[in-house]
Amino acid sequence: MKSKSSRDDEKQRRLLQEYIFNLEDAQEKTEELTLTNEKLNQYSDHLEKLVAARTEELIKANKKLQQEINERKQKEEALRNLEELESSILDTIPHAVFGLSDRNFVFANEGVKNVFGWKPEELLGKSSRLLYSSDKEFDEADKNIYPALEQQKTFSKELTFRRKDGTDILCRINVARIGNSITGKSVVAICEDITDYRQAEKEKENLQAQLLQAQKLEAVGKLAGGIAHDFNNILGAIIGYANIIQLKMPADDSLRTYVDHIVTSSQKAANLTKSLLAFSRKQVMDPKPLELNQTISKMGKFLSRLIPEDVELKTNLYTKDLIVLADAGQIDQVIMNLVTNARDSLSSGGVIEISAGKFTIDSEFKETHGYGDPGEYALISLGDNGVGMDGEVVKKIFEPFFTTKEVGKGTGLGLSIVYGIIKQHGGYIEVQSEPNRGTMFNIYLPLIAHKIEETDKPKIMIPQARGSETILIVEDNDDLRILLKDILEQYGYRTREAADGMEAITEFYANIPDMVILDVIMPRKNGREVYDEICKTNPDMKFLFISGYTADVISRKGIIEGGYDFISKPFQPTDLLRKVRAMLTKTEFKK
Amino acid sequence: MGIKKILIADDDQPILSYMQRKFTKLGYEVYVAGNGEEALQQIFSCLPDIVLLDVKMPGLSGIEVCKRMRADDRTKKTPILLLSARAQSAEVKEGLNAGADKYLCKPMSFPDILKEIRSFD
Repeated sequence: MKSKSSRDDEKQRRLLQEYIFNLEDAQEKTEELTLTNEKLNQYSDHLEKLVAARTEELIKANKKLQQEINERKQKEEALRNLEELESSILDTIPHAVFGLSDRNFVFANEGVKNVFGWKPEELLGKSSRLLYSSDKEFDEADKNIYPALEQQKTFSKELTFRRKDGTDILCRINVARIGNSITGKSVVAICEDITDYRQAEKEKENLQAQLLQAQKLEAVGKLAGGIAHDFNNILGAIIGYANIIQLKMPADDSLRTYVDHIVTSSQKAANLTKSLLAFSRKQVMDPKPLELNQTISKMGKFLSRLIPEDVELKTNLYTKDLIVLADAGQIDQVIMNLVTNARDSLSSGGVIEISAGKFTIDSEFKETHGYGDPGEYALISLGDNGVGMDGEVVKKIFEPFFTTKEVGKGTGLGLSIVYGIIKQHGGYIEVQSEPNRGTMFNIYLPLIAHKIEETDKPKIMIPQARGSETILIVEDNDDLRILLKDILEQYGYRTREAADGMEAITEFYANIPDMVILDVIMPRKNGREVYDEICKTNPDMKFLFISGYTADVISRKGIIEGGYDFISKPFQPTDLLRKVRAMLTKTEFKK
Repeated sequence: MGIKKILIADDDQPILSYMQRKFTKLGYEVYVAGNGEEALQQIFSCLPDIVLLDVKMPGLSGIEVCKRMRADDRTKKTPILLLSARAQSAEVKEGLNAGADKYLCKPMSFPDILKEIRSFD
């Protein structure tokens, strides 16, 4: 049997055993927990590192992404700039540039506004039918353009288009297909309005023709003028001697009729020469302020006698004075020539109308006509409703010796003279004519600011009186010099002669005359030089210049300016005598 | 390692399960029994390399199990450790007489028990 103490011991041991095991277990678990904790800490560290690494990667990736975004933005910006540049390039082109797809607008530049009147946004998406005047035109363009673009890349043609406002314009259109083949009718077109260009080209052609015409007339004029000058000297001699025969011959001489014929024929020849000189603008001009209304009304009375009864002459005068600086005789001649021509074109009656007015030539006039210095002009319009002329005739009417009249009826110089006279007056003449409608001449003469004074009194006729004064005749042409001498001696004058300038000086001082008749153009010393030399010692000496050249040529050579006494070859002996007498008488009055 | 299979018998459940857990953790093949009959059954069916027996168990006591093991040829030489809260010298003597190789007195720490087991290796 067991004692109580041994049972207590056993119980205690058993409890202790349990306690120890529990303790061990707890300890072990604690260790395990610590271990786990450490592991957890380690794992946490590991995780943190992992997170850090990942974060860094993310930041890098982010940076890269941002960079890519920036690059993309830059590229987009560059692209946008390029698009803007393209668009502004397109808009800078003054022509219409547009794209079509299946004949509908896909883009259009600002130029379409200028060319077609449409705004670009009004055209987008619409059919290009808008640009054509009719369906037919639209279809026509289709047939013309698209098949051609199957063969070639580009196509160019002149076509008529219609603007938004309904006006038609001529355009040069250049079309290019997009891509290698013409699929879907995708094209780009550039359209240039050439309406004005064509117009300008036509005008330019016109101007060139006018210039050519003017140059031709100028050349012919020079030629005619050159011949006329020599003719004048020859005719001067013929007429002069014939006049002397007439004067010396008894009134009932059987030969008088022949001499009369010589004089009248020579006179005709002289007139012809004068006409040539007028055309070549080498006629002596005596410009004075002239009121054109007066001129026309005065001429009207005279002209009405020239025209038949079935032709009506109307004159429309201007309400105010039209004063020009002109040679009255020459202006009369112009009007008469034009009226005569008008009359001849009105074989079965009609109307001739002369109108006077005022006209301002401006830069626009010059652009359209190719001539005309800007300023105020008197405009004389002379029109008829006669047979008119075609373009070819109109081109030639101012040419000398061109005539549509029958042989013997016209000289072909009438209008040449008119042309020459108007040119010489610094004016312009133009003609408009249409077959069977009539002809209209417009004459422009520069207006001057001048009041007409009462100087238009009839000239005092100086009697063809005889004289006894001594006259020195200086003339290199022997025939003319002898003629002058004969005429003057016939009327009682004493004469001395010199054949050139040097001789003139010697003769003058050998025995001082009352007057010197001086040819302007001479060998050795010319007229002007002789004049200057004598004037130094004899300032009151009277000089009468004679020349075949007209005033403008003379003044160009620096020989004679205004205010000198002058007589042109060929001259009538009576004119010479009257002039000489008048000059000598004036001297006497002075004294 | 010679010792692989261990059989542990004890009627105190917390102690039994603690040791089962510890030995298993150390790599041993552990068999457990809550009383003497169960212990014997297991011993003869799986023939453990060593046996750790509680002395005081309901039914067959550790002493009895020890005697029967020694009486059987299969377990005649299997090391047997007795673990008991009975620490009287007469009780120790009885255990050793019954054929146990060692008589251990509770309380023992697990490291000490392990040391005893390993001494049979």
